[in-house]
Amino acid sequence: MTKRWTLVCLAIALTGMVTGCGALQRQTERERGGQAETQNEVTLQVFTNLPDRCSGQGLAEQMLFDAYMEENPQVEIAVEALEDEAYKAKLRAYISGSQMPDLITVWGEPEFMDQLMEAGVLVELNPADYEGYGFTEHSLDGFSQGGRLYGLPRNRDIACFYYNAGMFEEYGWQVPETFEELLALAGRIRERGLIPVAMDGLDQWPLNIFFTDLMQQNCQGDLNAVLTEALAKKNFSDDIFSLGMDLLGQCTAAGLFQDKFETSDYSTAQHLFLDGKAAMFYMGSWDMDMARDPRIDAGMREEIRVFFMPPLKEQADGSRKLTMWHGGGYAVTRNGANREEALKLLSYMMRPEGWPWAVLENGACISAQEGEEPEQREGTSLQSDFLEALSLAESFSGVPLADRGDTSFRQACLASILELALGHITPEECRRALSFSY
Amino acid sequence: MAIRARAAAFYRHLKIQHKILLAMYLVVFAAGLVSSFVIYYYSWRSAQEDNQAVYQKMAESISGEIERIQQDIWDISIYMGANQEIHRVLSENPSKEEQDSLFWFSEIPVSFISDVLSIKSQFRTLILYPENGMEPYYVSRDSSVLKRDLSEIAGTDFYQEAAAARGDLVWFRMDAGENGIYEKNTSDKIVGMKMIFNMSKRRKLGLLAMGLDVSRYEAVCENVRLSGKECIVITDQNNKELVKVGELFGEDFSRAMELFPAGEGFARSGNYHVFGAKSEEGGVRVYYFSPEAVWFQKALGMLYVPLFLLLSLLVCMWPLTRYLSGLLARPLNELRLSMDRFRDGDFMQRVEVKGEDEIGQLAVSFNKMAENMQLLIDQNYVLALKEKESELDILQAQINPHFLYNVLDSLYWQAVNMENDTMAEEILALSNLYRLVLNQGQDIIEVEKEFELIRSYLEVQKMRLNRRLNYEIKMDERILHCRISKLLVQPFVENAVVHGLESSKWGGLVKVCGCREGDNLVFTVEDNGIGMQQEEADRILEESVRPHSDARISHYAISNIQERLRLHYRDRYKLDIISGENKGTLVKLVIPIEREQGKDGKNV
Repeated sequence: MTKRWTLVCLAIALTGMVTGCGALQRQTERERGGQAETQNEVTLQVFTNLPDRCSGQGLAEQMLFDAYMEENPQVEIAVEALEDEAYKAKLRAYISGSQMPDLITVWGEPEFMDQLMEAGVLVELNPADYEGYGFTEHSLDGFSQGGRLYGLPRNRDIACFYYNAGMFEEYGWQVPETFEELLALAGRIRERGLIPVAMDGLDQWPLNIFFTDLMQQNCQGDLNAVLTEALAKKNFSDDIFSLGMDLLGQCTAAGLFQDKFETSDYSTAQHLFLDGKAAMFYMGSWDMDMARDPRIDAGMREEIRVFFMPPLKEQADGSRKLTMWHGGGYAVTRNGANREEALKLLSYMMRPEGWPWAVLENGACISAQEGEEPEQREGTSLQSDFLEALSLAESFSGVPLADRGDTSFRQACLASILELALGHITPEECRRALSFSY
Repeated sequence: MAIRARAAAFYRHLKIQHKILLAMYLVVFAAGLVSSFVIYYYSWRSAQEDNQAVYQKMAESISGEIERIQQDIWDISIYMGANQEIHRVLSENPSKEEQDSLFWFSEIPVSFISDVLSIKSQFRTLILYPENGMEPYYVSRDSSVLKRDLSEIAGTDFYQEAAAARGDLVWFRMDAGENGIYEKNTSDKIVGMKMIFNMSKRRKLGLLAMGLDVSRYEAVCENVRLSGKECIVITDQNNKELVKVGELFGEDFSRAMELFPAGEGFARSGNYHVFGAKSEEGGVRVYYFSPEAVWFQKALGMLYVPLFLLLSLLVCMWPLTRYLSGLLARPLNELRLSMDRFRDGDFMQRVEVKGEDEIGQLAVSFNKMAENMQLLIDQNYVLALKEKESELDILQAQINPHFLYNVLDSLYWQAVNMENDTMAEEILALSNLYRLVLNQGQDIIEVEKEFELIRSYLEVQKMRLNRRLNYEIKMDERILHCRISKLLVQPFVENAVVHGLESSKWGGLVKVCGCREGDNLVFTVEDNGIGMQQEEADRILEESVRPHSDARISHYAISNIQERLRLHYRDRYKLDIISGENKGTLVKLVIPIEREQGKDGKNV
C-alpha cells in the first residue's frame, strides 16, 4: 500500500514539475512572440497586377487563392498587388535580383512576354497538363515561343465604349452606329457641358488601343496580318495607318475626349464617367466588373452599358469586327522558391471550374477558356453583351499596335500616337517615328 | 478558542510518526512558501524591469521601422525639392510651359520617380502642385483620384500646416472616402506634405503630397504587438493621431500624452503601462499602451511555476518523510509495546538497542529497569514466599515436633493396650501426617514422600468423614524417586475433600494419580463432589496468578503453588482445573522431570 502511494506521489510530483516547466516554456515563447513554422508549411509568393481585391478579377483571383489554401492547409499564399505600370516596373526589379515571386501575372503581348521567355525567367509548361482546360484557338500563341509554352492566358480583352444608358435616355441620345454619328454625338454631349468620352491619356496605352480599334473597324482586310507585316517590314505606309491617324485627329478635333485628357490617368478617366461628368468611358472588357462593384453607386451600376467602335459609314458592311486580344495571364517563375507548388496552384486556378467560373460568377471579365457553363450563371448584362459580341464577331484585331514590337517600339508608338492625337506631330512624322523606333 | 481546543485535542491524539510528519511538512511548507515568495518577488521585479525594457525596445523598433518606411518619402521629397528641372518648372513663367501639357514627361525625369514609386509598394499616391498654376504632376497606384486644382487645396488646414512647416514634412491621416486632397480616395493613407520654397524661403513654389498605405503602418504594429488587448498609437510630432492599432478602454489618449513631454520614456496612465518612442527623422511618435491586465497576467503566469514546484516538492517528499519519521517512531513504538508487555507481567521483555541516540539510551534504560524490576520482583516475591515459609516454620517451630510425636506415640500404645485397633491406626496416621508435613524443613521431596503425605492426610480425613469419603491413589513406580517441591499436590487433594466432598451430603470419591508422560510428570486430583462452574475454576486460576492476591485460603494455596511453580519451573509447567457444577472437579498438573534419585541416592 505504501509503495503504491509512493508511486502515486512520485507520478504527481513529476507531472507537476513537467507541467510547470512546460507552462514556463510556453509563456516564454508567447512573450517572445514567435511561433516557429512547421517544417511542412509552404508560403507561395504571388505577384499580381490586380490590386483591387474587392471586386472584379482581383476578387475572383483572391477567391481561388482562399479556396486553394482551404484545401491545402499547409500552403500560405502571400499576395503582392500593383496596378499595371507599377507592376511592370517592380517586376523588372525582381528580375534583376535573385528572389522572384513564385507565380506572376504576364501579358501575352510580344513586347512584354518575349523578353521574359528569351531571358529564361519562366518555367516551361507541359501543354498536355492543360488539355481539356478549354483554351480558345490562338489564345496560347502569345504565351508560347518556339513551340514551347510558358504561360496561360487569363482573359480575352475587348476594346469598348462604356456608356451611361440613363444619361443617354435622359437626353435622347442614341448609341452611334457609325463613326460619324459618334463625332456628332460628341458635339451634342459637349453642348450639355459634359464630356463625351473619358480617356486615359496619361498612361497612353488606352489611346493606342483606341487607335488600333479605329483601324480594325475600318480595315477591309485582316488587320492582324497587316500589323504583323508592317512591323516585320518596319513599314507603316499602308493606308489603314493613314486612315487611323486621320480618324484619331478627327476625334480630338471634335473634342471627343476631355480637355487635357493627356494628363488624366486611368482612375481619373473612370472617375469622370462614374461621377456622371462623362457620358462614355473608353476602356476594355476587363472593366465590366463596374456593374458589380459595391463601391460604385448602385444607380450608376445599373446604367452602365457597352457598345463597340463604330466604323465609318462607308465601311459599315454589316460585318462584326472586334478589337480583341489575349492580354493577361499567369506564369511560374524559374527562380521562385516553391516551383512545384506554384505549378499546382496554376493548374488549380485555370481548371475549368476555377478561373472561368469565378470570373463568370463575378462578372469580372471574359476568360480565355470556353467550356460548359455552370448551371446557375449569375453573370451581368454587360457580360452578356460582350459574350454576344464575341459570338457574332467575324474578325479580331489581335494584339494592339504598340504591344507588337519590342520595348523601344512600344515607347515610341505610345508617345507618337499621343503626340499625333494632340496635334503635336503630323501623321507622316508619326509614321517615321514608328519606322525608326526599332 | 473552540478551534484551538479542537486543534490541540487533534494534535494530542496524533501518533508520534504523524506528529513528526506534520512538523516536517509545516517546516518545509513554511520554508518553501517563504523562499517561493522571495524568489517570485525578485523574479517578478526582474521580469518587470526586463519587460519594461522589452516594451521600450518594441516601441523604439516600431519607431525605427516607421522611420524607414517614411525615409523614402523624405528622400523623394528632397529629390523633388532639389531637382533643378523640377525647380525650373516650378519657378518659371507658366505661359510658356502651358503649351506643352506633357512637359512633365518630356522635360522632367519623372520616370525615375514613377519607377521608385512602383518599387516601393507602400506608396499609393504622389502629387506635386506647382504654385504657378501649371498642371500638377501626379501618380496614383490605388485608383485614387487626386484633386488637380491647387485652389481647392490652398484653403485647407493641410496646406496651411505644410506652409507653416517651412519645408519640413508634415503628416496627415486621410481615410478612404474622405476627400482632403482627393476627389476619390480608395484606401486609408498617411499623407506626408511638404511645401517647396525658393532658396530664400520667401516664395512658395509648390506643394508635394505623398500618400502611404496605412496598412503598412498597421502591419508594423501588428508584428510587434504581443496581445490583442494592447494598443499602439502613432502620432506626428504634435501628438496628432495618425495610426491606431487596438483599442484603449477607459483611457484618454490626450491625457496620456501629457505624461510624455519629451515624447519618449515610460509612464503609467490609468490602467495602462505606456511606452513612448520618437523618431526625429521620421517625424513621428509611437506610444505603446499595455494594460495592467496583461502585466497582471504575466505576473500571475510567473506564479504558476514556483507554486507547481512547491506542490511537487510537498508531494514528492511524502515517501521520504514517511520513511524518516518511521525511523524515529518505530523504536519508540517497539519500546512502548515492550513496556505494555512488561506491564502485563512479561518480565523477560527487552528492547533491541539500535543506536546511541536518546532513543537508544531510552532502550538501554528500559532494559536496565526491566532487569532490576524482575530482580526486585523475584527477590520480593521470593521474600514473600520465604516469609510465608517462615510463618510456616514458626508455626512448625511453635509446634514442638518431639512433643507431638511423644504424645501421639503414647496415645497409640494406649489404643493398642485398649485393643482399639481403629483408634490406634488413626493415631498412627495423624502422627505420620505431622511428621511428613514438618519433614525436617526440606523444600524438595521425592514424589513417593508427597504421595505418602497425601495417603496419611486422606486416612485422617477418612477417620473424620468415614463413609462420606472414599479415595484411590495410583502412582507410577517410575516416578517414585522424582523430586518435586513439597506440598505441590496435597493442597489440591485438600481442596477436593474440603470444597468438593465435605459439603455434599453423600460425600464422594477422590482419585489421586501420578504418572510419567515423556519428560513430564503428570499429577491428577479428581473428585466427584459438588464441583463449580468452569468460569469460576478459570477465575481461580487467573486470580491465583496475581501476586499478593487477597483471595481466600484456597486461592492462597493455589496462588502459592502457582508462584512456586513459576519460580521453580518458569513457563515449563501446566496447571488446569476442569470442573462442572455437581459434576466434580479435575485438577491436572504437568511439570517437567528435573532429577531422579536412584535408591542409592545418585542422580539418574
